[in-house]
Amino acid sequence: MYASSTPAGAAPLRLHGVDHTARPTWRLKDTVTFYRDILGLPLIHTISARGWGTATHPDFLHFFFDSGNGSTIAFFYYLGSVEPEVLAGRDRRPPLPDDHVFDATHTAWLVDTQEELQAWKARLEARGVVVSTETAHEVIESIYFRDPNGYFIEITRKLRQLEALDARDADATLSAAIELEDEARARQASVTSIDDIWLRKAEILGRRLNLDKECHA
Amino acid sequence: MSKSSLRIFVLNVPEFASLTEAAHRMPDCHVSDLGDYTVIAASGPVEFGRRALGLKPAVWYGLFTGGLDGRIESFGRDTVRIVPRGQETA
Repeated sequence: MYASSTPAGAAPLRLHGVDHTARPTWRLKDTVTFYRDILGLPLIHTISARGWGTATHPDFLHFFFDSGNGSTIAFFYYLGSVEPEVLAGRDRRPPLPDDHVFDATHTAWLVDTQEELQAWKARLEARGVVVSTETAHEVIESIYFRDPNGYFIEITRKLRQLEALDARDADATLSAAIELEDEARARQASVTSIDDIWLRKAEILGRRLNLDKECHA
Repeated sequence: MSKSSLRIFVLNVPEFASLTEAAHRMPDCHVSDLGDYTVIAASGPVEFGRRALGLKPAVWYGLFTGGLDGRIESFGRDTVRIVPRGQETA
């Protein structure tokens, strides 16, 4: 944990949500059609620049769609640049996170109610988008789909608010994992099973809660 | 509690409440509420069923995220069986 650099008496330094996330696209018209017309997100800003990019793509467009609450999703379109092969065919893949590297980077938009989530699924399907079934996670419920670039998109609703104990539990889980990773790295190994992390976490919590002392007293 | 006991730490949040409730109904399980966590302890194997717990897969596969001192003998889509560490398969 890092020491706070906030001067005594000053307000803690904090962020206030997302302004924008940005991705590259090589499919200008399809991307505009998808976000503006199919999803219905207003196109609210476009930058067009000459000679600002690197030598292979000096000129570009950078455009922003309103995703609510002051946030936008943005794209770069580099004129004359060729789509990387890694993106080929991704738009036709099912809305499942089958590529653990590429699909891990995604945006999840927030809606308020289950009815809204279902309405988004219905709207997208009516407009030809393949949408996953609703997935209920621990604290959110989500639908997933892909944009014309193959980027993974999520719409979600909160099932409950996170509380202080969620944060304490999050810290305990990651402390256990980091401890194990440090130990494994020292012997040129790696942690490969969640079972090991769950066990280390149980040991950490057992010590914190004085369970062994209590049990063997 | 013997050293060969298994222990499940269940975070006291709604999505895992059915695990604690199920353990309360199991005579071989000792259940203690310790603040953030409920600790389920048992000296022998314990089994849970996903449907009986009313859990969707996304939560089921993180069933022991609170912490588990025990050996997972099997963990499928619908059932899980855990045994105390060091104990042979029943």
